[in-house]
Amino acid sequence: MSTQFKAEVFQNQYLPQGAKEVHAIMTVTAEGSEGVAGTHTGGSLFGVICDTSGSMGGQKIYAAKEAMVKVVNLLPDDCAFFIVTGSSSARVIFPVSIATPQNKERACGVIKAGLDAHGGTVISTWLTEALQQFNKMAGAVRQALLLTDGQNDVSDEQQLNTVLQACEGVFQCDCRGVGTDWRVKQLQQISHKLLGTTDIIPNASMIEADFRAILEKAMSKSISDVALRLWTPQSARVLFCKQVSPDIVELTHRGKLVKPQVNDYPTGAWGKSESRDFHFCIEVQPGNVGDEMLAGRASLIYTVNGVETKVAEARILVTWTDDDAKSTKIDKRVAHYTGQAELAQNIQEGLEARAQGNIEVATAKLGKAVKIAHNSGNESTAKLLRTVVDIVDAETGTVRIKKSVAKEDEMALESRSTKTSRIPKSS
Amino acid sequence: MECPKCGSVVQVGDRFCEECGAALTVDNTKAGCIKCGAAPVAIDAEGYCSECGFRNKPRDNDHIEVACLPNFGGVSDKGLRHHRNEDYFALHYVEDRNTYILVVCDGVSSSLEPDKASKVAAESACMALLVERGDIKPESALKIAIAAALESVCAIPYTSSADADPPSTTIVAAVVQDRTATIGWLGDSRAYWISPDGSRQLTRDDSWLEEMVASGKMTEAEAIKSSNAHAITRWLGADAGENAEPTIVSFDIPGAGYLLLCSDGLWNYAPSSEELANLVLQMSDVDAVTVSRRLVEFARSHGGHDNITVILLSTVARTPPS
Repeated sequence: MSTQFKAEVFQNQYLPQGAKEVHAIMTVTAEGSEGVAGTHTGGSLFGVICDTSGSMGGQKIYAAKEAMVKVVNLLPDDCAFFIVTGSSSARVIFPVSIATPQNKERACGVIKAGLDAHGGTVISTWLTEALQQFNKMAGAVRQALLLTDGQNDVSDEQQLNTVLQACEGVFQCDCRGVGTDWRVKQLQQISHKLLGTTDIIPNASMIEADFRAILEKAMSKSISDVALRLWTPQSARVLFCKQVSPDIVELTHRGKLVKPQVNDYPTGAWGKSESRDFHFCIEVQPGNVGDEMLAGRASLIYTVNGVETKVAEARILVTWTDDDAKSTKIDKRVAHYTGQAELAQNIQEGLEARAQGNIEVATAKLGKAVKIAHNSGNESTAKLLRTVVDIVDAETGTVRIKKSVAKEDEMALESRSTKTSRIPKSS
Repeated sequence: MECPKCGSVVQVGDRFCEECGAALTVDNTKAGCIKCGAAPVAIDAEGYCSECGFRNKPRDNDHIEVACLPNFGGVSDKGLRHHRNEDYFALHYVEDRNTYILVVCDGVSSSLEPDKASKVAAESACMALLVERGDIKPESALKIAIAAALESVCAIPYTSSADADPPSTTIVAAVVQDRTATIGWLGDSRAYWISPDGSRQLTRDDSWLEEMVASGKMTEAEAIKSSNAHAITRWLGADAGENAEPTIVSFDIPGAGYLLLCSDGLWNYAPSSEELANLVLQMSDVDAVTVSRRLVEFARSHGGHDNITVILLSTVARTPPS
């Protein structure tokens, strides 16, 4: 394996007497060696899941077909792919095949010839078909792209949950919604469970560029099924564990107990040059002044053919002290990401309040969000916020809710609110 | 130092108690966790227990006493307010050259791993002075020794942090040969000459206060009120740069008296040489290590806010066996 991982922990290890909550940020960086190809022995499998329900008719289905043809042609020759289309039921229009020039040509023919938009939207059936395809190549890096434009059928809710359970850990899935008739929360439910992202494609002409970006990212992944393994002392509790960069992914309740005191949290596939930050909050049994404790040991683990390999490890330490100068310091990375989580929460709550017509709460929440985004240098979120509020003073978070907001702007803010910034270099 | 089993007095460095025969070397790998009682296998190489997480500290520097010769010894103590001792000292008598080596280091508490910094600095400076076979001048030997100390401090592994500096320590080192003491230092650990015929401070602190007063920008009374007063301007550490160049002075020992090296944990409570002389000269009939211990007790009784280290070479009592 040519990918090297490096883990580093940032924290203030000093706690005052009696304190029991330990915070730490771990930065994990994967660095690929140059010139080594085919690092993943099992290859990669990329699945396209495309909505062909009635609402996709006209320009959308035309653009989606064009985009799929482009994506198929961009696939590296040594990877495998499949295509599933879905409406009230799903159909494998092209089963798992290696992306040879002949197969690509055949796939493009099928896409162009056989896609009509009709019927409803029952996403559980699409995922079920995709799952069967992915099961054919268990050793590969397995990633999917799901494109839809509408809301899932209300009767499918329970079935979707069951299918998501089955898909979890088998493949990752990025979700894209075209237009503004789909629901952010619904797609996020899928992408969160399947360790992917959700985003809006405001109009059909943008599908191609977005697909291209997703494929590029998918093809950069060289190691799949990486778990974040966290050891904690007996009697300790993990209050939370989340990825905080590049975006916030709540992992706390997704831990699997490996053995006593050890949990594995899923992080999916990693690319050759990728860096992510994680925030741990662990409650430990408090010690006496002068005591030192190992409050956590975090490592990254991947499994190939049943053999576990540990690729990086970092320790979270605590020292209890009566020196206030030491214990009152807050590590600046911990502070930064605590702020970024607050930013995402204020956006979610602000948008909800706005949707319910509670302008007072919406103004307060979104104002707070503007202030945090401004102070933490999160430019991209600040920009999205400007589409829903008029900023009077970013420093104090004084804003006015815009009277009319384009639906796609609001949805873009909602889907991207969990994007975080890293700590600015200058501070 | 006392035997943990029977309480009889034992010397530092003894491996077994002469009274009861108990082993005095603490071996954590055989003891199990002192906090939760987990089996010895649960303790990792650095002393962390894999069950409760608490650290079983590998070695205790909280109180160290070394009695090298009746007239030559030292004591280091963590004091009352700090949770560990970040001071360290080394002393050695080289018989064939009739040379005494004295080193005191005070780890900078705002830096990372200050306890390791003071320990490796003191040990490597002492080692460097030991291996010098006496064919170069003591000034040069001290420079080489302090450079060696710097190198070993810079070699301490640490996890970089935006909030703390790389491992750093002060150092004061002395070589005494014939009747000449040559002293080199960085930071605010001091050397004094204490004698009934006149006492004086031999070092000049590398501190903000000293700089302000020396440059005439402030009077001592003004400068001492500043929160910077105790900030040191020179030290040993990866971030010291060109400031790691020690000041070296030479002092002709005029007669009977004491050469005293100490960290600020002592002199904070008795800054002037007269105050220290009053304390030391009251008890001139005892061993150097006893005098050192009583000075440590004096600092502890006045608050013991910092780690306290004292080493003492007496030219009063006895001459070393030849």
